[in-house]
Amino acid sequence: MPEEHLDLRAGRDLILRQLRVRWLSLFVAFSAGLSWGLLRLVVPVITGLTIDRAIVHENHGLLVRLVALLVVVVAFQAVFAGTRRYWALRTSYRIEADLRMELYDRVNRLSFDYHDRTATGQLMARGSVDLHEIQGFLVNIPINSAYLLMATGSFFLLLRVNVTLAFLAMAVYPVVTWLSVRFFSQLEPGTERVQVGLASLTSVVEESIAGARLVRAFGREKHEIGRMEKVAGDVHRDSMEVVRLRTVYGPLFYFLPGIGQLVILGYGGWLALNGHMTTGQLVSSLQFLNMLVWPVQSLGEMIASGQRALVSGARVWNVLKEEPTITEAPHARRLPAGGGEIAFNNVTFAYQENRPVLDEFTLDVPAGTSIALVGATGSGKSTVARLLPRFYEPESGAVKIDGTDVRELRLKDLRRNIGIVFEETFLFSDTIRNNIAYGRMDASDEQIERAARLAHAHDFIKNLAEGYDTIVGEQGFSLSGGQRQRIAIARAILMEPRILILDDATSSVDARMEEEIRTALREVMQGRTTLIISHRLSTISLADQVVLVDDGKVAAVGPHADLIRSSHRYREVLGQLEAVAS
Amino acid sequence: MNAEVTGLPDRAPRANGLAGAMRMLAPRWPAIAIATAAIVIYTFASLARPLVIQYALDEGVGTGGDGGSGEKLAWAGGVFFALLLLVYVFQGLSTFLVNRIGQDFLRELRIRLFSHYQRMSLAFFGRENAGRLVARMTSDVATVNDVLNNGFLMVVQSTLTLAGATIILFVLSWQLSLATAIILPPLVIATVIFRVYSERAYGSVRERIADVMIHMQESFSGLRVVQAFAREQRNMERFGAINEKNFWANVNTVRISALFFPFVEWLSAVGIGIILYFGGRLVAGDAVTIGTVTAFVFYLEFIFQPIQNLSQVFDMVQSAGAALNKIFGILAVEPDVPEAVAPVALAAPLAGRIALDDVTFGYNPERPVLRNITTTIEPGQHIVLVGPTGAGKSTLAKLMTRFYDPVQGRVTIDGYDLRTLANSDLRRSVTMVPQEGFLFTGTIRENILFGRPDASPEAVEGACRTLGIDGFVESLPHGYETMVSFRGSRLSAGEKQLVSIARAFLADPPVLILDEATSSLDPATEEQVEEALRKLLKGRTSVVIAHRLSTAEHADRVLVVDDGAIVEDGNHRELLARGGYYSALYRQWTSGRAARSA
Repeated sequence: MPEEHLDLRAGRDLILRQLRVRWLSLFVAFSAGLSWGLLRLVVPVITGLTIDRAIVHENHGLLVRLVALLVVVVAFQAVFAGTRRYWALRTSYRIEADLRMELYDRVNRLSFDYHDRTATGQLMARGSVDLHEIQGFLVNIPINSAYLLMATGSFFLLLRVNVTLAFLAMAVYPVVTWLSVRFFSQLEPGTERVQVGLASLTSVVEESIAGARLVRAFGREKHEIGRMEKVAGDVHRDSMEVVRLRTVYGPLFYFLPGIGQLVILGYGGWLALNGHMTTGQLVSSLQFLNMLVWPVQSLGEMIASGQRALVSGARVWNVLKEEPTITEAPHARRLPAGGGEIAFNNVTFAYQENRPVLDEFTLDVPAGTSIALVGATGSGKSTVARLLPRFYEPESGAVKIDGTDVRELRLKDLRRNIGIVFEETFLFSDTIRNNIAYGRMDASDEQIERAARLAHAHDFIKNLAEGYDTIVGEQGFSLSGGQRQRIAIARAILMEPRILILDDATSSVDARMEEEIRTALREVMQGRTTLIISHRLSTISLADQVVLVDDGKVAAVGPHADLIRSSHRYREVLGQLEAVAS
Repeated sequence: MNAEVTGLPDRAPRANGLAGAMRMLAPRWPAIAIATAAIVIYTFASLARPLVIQYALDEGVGTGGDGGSGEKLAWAGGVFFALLLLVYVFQGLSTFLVNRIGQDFLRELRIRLFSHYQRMSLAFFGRENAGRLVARMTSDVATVNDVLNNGFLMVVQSTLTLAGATIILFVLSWQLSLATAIILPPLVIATVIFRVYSERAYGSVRERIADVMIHMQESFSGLRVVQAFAREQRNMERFGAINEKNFWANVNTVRISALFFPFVEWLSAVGIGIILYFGGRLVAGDAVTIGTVTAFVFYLEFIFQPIQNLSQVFDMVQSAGAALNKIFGILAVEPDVPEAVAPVALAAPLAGRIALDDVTFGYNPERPVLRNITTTIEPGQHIVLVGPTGAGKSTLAKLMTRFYDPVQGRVTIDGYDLRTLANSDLRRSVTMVPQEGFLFTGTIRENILFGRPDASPEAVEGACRTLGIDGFVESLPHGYETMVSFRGSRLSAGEKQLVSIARAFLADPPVLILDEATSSLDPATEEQVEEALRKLLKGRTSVVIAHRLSTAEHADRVLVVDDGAIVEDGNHRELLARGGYYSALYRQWTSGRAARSA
């Protein structure tokens, strides 16, 4: 995987774009946050006033009024706090959900060539970790703005009391902010290393379990334990590195604001002693500083998190900016009526530049007949099948179905008329019924059952405890390779496709299973144009004609029996298949 | 995916995780004692700060009634600084020590758990869900980690702070303390209610986010199917609904916290109001000083914070307790194929005569898979096991490698019961090559060296040359140093098998057990694999679990296994002549072959 290019500016623009879309709720969160910050400053001021005016002068009436005012002010403060929290969190989650939807939609529409070069895990990370990073940054903007306002407000209120005191007491805060930016940006690579370490620890565990038989067979338990000791040791070392950072910085974030309080207590106390400042002012100044202990750290954290959010934004953008290479023509047509005649006219295609897989490939398959594509690995036989549903686009030449170029057809229409059974059966974590109905959600139970019967899957499905409602897939009941394959066949034929493609559909099952699948296939191939790609002689023999593909061209066409006599190359390619027993 | 999502029943026995953790932590008592002392010191030092403020105001500035004193103010400043320093030093010390103890503990726990897995037989891995075993070592350990890093410190510190602050307040002024105590019931009740509701709300967020992840994972990895069946639009709609559900589950947690936290904030300000009001009246009656009132305002935080911390730690400790129980539950499982305590010392390398003596075995002892099997395999013999799926061929082979122990009878090699041999001797003598070529994450060379870690680079390359696969290895992007992994390796099934054969060849055991591949390989590699296998088996005792009859044709002896017993025993020709199961199978196969190639 080549190093991903990250355009931080694009990441910023993406985040700004989302903020613009949600400007109203953001505005609510923001104004509530600022109002909250302002009112928070009022509490120490009232405390000071109460001490000076009401308590020192023992004015009972004023005491009651001031305390009542305090309770009312903080009631408003609480309402603003709630509003800020609700809208800040809600907006950040909204933006996360919006982006996730956009990402999902984009990934869904990107063509095969993109997915060939992109790992699923990477896309998953974009949709989880990166979006979470952006959300975590956005949610803190309103509160940190309020903190900033509180710090500035405190400074001005202190200034009114005494200029020197204000500067002396607040001097530590820029230092704390600077330290916390440093701390959080140093923390980042450390925690990242721990995460990487934990990931490799997980894979050592997974591997030792998946490969338990080998570990036992070669008596390598000690070696495996050694590997674990190494990764567990690495995690320990990296974690301790993070701990060291916390040990160095953490206490500083309490110590330095404490120094600010000390300044107020010492210098402010001295001012009060000499009558240059009242007791109430002294107490409220101490409260201001107490209030700021957390906010200054938080600012540093937000700056560090902002940097991470930009990187994440850039990563997400890298997916969003991709365009599908296969798109529907502006005036795409429906597939005209026909029997499923296929034509490849001088098709040239390459996955990588200058390395053509198909070279002026020409082939006609009459409607309703079946052909087997046979060839050595890399001959291009699978590619032929992939061009038909437009998973890839030929460089030159044309692929036609019933006389129409596939590029002129509506994509959905085209693909729904082609049923494919892939080499690796992918079932979704859903019921068997929904898996069969995957391409045709409106199919009735009878239709689903009929497809399952045709695919010789009905009997084993009926024998499962939950029948068609059995949940399968990664999260569910594990079926054998042959059973999965037959569900995949049922899935393909439920769509009643004009054309059926069997892409190595029998390669992952053992010989006995293959016999059953072959019987199923023979039935479903009736009346459909079928392309078979297989290594297996028995599967190949299902086809009316065999097409030998060699070097991206059709090397020979004919029934199996003819080719085996006339083509030396065919015999060579088939040479290895003989040994498969019953 | 995390195994917890599948909702399969958990089979591991329950164990007292806390007791187990205590036993592991016990030897670290000096560090734990120092850490605790450090927490106590810095907690008390923090607690003392409002008292210093009180002293500075009353005695220094002079709000106590006896007039101010610059000297006393300076003293107060000095003590305040000393307290700051104490907090600084001991907070750092306790952070470091607590985390150190925690990290040491985690490392030990991980290695112990992993070593335990290594002592387990294959039956254990068959019984236990792999995802669950991984979860024990990852998410469960991480839960314990949270408590160790934050929980312990928080519990000690919060309890001390709460108790200390309460005592100090009552000593300063019991009247004012009682007045302030009015706000405690609503605070505690609100906190408890919040915990209950937010736990529920976060529980549903966890479920919803799992749904989002599962759907994304499936759509992304099954994308070719999605597009082939033109399901993009439909999936968009489905995912949209799932995504929205997750959003609203999140908003639900926000609703709860947007009510609770502002309420606590308001309550704390009301607390200040109460202190000012009653404090003001008490000052007027000369019962307390302004310094005391100020100290109360600052102590309020020392009451609020610990209550909330403790409620948070409570949840954390609970889930860590559950995780520890699961972890120690796995540790309590006894290995069912234990290594001999006092293994036999072998004088010379074994020749490889394997004998089964009245062996009965079943994965479930009540339902034997093999019954009363007695047979001897002479050194150098090529044996092929034939029989229908589920007849017990693989099980028979696994008993010979001691992946399992027989329920009754014994398996011997050169007369030694397998159970009396050291694992290392046994593994050196009998090696199994599984049918799927399994690759570990690492280079091709490391994968081959797995069979004999001390082999030289020349030996690795020599082995590949002898097997005729050096050309294949060298054609890889980085030759022997090409990185492969057990998941997304670019090697084909046949190529993986070549590596796996080289691995066994390098190990050079006198006895080889081989599970033949069922699925057909790519024609190009298939020939290479067969050639390499032929060379691997040469001169060794070998037992091959056959899935193709062609394999049996050239064997010294064919054992036909059916329904848990050896029903036929002899070479290809003898068995054909006998006209039993084997000859029937063979006739069927040859006629099929003839028909297909006609």
